[in-house]
Amino acid sequence: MKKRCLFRLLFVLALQFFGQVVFAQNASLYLNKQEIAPQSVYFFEPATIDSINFYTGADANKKLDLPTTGIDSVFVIFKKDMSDVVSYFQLLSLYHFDERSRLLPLTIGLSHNNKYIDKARLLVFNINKVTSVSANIKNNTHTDFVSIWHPYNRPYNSRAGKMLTWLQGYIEGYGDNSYYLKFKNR
Amino acid sequence: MKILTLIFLFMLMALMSVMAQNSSFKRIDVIDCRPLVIINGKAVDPLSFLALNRHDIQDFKILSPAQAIKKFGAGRSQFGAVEITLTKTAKIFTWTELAKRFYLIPGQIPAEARLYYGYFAGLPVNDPTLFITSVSTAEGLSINLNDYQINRPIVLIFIQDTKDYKNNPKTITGTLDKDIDEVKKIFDTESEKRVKIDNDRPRIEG
Repeated sequence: MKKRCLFRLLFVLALQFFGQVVFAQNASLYLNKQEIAPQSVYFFEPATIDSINFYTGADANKKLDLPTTGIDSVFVIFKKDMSDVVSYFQLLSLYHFDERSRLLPLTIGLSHNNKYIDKARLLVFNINKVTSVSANIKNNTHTDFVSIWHPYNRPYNSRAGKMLTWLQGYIEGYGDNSYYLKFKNR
Repeated sequence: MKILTLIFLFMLMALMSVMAQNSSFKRIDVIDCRPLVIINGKAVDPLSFLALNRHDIQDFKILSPAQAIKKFGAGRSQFGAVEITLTKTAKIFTWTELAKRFYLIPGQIPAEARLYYGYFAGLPVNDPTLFITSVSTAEGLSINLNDYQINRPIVLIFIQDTKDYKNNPKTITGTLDKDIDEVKKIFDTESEKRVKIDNDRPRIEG
């Protein structure tokens, strides 16, 4: 009995030490054949997604012919109907922003603590999942930035929705956000 | 006969619920008591008053409703008027300039706008094309196309409240501040009423 407890304790400690490393693997997100920015998972409508599959880099390269050799995890969103999907620059045009705005840093939401998104050009959006786009001055640095807003994301019920919820947790703080925890505790 | 009665009752209930929603909007329009605002001799949208930096104001006059009607004729003058003269160094954005400043294409943006300042909820701008703001107070513009609460294309104007008299009452120092705050209270009271009505408004969901 004592041995089993000791083993469990060791297991928990090992998980705490190596858990960060496991989650910190490099991962890529694809929409069909196109690589997209991870934050795009906030702007997909689960009902319009056919499926979301997970591959290792080598597997994705072999089965789907994606340039993913050397990448640990690859998430591929399969979606046939692309009529409701727009790129970042298309979204800016749709919201009547001029071409200068393309050069501005981008955040999701307006909080000054929100991080800028590295691969803004690779973001894709379901047009119905964007509520507003704004250009603002950041108070503490006096620099301009663009922010994009999505509706409140409830835990989804469909399979694709569950996977999206999980991905939202995965890309943001490696699973520490509330959506991921809600999903985990269900 | 019973089915017909049921259909009639159902239609009556639907009509009543739609009327209840519309009546709230009518009430919001009725309580718009903003005074006429004249800046450098030109009538502007009343909410421009909230978007001015106090340091840009050189002179400030409050006219009673009677005086305002006598000087400017009927209309919004029934709520009084505020005549403002700006300093020569004041930097101002017109609606087009404001849109360009925040990377928007002026001719394409929605015709409806709301102003957000300080801690209050958005106030509807009567005529965005007549709206002006100080350069120093403008914080941003937002385009809403899919907002489930507003449900129509709209521009949100974000203005920095340069002097929050409610949270910082001791910071009143300028000679015009007392007058400015008196007028500002009219806007704040109206804003609070609107927020209350908007919160109480029955919503059909689902």
